[in-house]
Amino acid sequence: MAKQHTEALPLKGIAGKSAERQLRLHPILIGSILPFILLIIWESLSRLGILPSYLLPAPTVIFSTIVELGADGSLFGHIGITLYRIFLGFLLGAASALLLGSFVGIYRKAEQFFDPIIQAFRSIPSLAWVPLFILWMGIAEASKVTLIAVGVFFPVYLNVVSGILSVDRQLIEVGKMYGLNSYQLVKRIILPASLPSFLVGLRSGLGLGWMFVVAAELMGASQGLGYLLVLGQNTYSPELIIASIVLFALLGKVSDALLKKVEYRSLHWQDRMEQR
Amino acid sequence: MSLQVRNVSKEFETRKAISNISFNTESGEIIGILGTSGCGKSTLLRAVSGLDSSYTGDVIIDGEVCNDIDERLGFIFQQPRLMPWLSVLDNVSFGLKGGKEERRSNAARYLDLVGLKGNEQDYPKQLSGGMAQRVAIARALVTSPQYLLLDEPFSALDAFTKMKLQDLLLDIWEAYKTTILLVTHDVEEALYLCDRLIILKGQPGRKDEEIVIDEPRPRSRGSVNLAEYKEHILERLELTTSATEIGGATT
Ligand SMILES: Nc1ncnc2c1ncn2[C@@H]1O[C@H](COP(=O)(O)OP(=O)(O)O)[C@@H](O)[C@H]1O
Ligand SMILES: [Mg+2]
Repeated sequence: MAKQHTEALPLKGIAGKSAERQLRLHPILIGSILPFILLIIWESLSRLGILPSYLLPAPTVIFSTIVELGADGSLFGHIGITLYRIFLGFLLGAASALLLGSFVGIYRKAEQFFDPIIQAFRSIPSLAWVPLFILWMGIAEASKVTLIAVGVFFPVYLNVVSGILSVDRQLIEVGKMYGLNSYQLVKRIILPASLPSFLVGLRSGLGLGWMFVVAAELMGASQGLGYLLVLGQNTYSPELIIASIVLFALLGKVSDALLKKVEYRSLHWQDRMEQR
Repeated sequence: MSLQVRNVSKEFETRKAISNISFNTESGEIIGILGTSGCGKSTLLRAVSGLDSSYTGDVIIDGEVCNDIDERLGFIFQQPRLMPWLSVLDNVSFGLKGGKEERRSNAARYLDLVGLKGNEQDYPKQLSGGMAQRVAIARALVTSPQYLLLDEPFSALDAFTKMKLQDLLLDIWEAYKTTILLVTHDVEEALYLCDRLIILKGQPGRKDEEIVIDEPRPRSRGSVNLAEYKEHILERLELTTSATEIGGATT
């Protein structure tokens, strides 16, 4: 029997490495041109006194505000507590969404039982919970973490359910042909097949988590990046507000990049356009 | 050792797909189930495999009625149906039980058999259609089934790959003497591979004819004898039906 196959070879190494690296730098450079120009215009307008500094301070002023906060050490306390809240809320929300979502996705009966009420709760704008949570759990950590968890829950839940429901029936048949029982089908086919959808849910859940951590800290906190927003408003210091916005943006971007990396690592088997 | 199909019928909600189909297989035989598209070939094979158990009639394996999935049967689908998140090696060992090392070395043997030594660590997205179907063949063989069910396994492949895989199937059959039940709509494929053909016809599909292909192996694809069989089968499947259609239209 012929051991060699003459069909197409695996798609390895499509382009040379050096050419690839050049191409990868380009979009970043192109993308930084506009922000850079805007920053320069903003800085010069502030220096010339055209932009009033009590409304919109210059980028350098904002930057030195961040540096000062870092120098006296208070910055890390604020960042730390904010990260702690979002981490805990994210974990709680994502874990309960995964559990309930898998259950609802796998058992038809559970879907009929749970889905209507979950859909009903979903139609409540999550911020409407704030007064109730404060009433129940006070203004301390518990109510904040709960609010974030609620925000994270829904996107993750929806994606887990739809991921499981759209698992290819043909693959499940393969498992059945090998005599797998329901538990093995879930573990070996349904969960891995719905992993991509779960990860999409995690990323949009994280985005909402950041939104809700701001809301939670605005509603009353003595520390945290959101508290800096309030403090900046009360002390008429726009540089503090903008500094805190910048930090939120940075942290949000970094956490999303981390998740994206996890996604990329665990989904390397996917045949997707962007992986070329 | 044999597989018997006795009076199998299957009705979907709206229509009957197959009606009263019966045949026997003998050990080590290659049986072809040949028919035009929509005549119920897949339905029949799914009933035999136990993937579908809501049919009437009996499927008898080695003397006992069997209405469920059975590990004596292996199934190769039209599409490779590989798990995209598993490497080629893990796809092949998917249905095996036992320790990881043992499963892997077993799987590697069968990958070698289908000519994919060296591709163990690839992922399905890296494979061509023909390679993926080879992996699917290895996956079905690795559990050493006594009966191999194939549902148009080569119909999605180009002509050359198809011929190579047909020969691979024959090699495997020579080596293991597996009883093979091959569903196909390709007359030439059926004649090249099978010892006996069950012709299905109509909607719902009924058994129209059973033909023994009396041609020694190795067969030649261009054999005159096979061409005569082909002529006969085409007449059964198409010319006669179109003749009655024309007849029906004129009355
Ligand atoms: N799940 C299903 N529900 C309803 N009708 C079906 C289903 N599967 C197949 N059929 C019908 O049964 C008939 C036989 O189908 P099939 O066995 O797939 O044919 P073949 O494999 O010979 O092309 C067709 O008329 C088809 O429409
Ligand atoms: Mg079919």
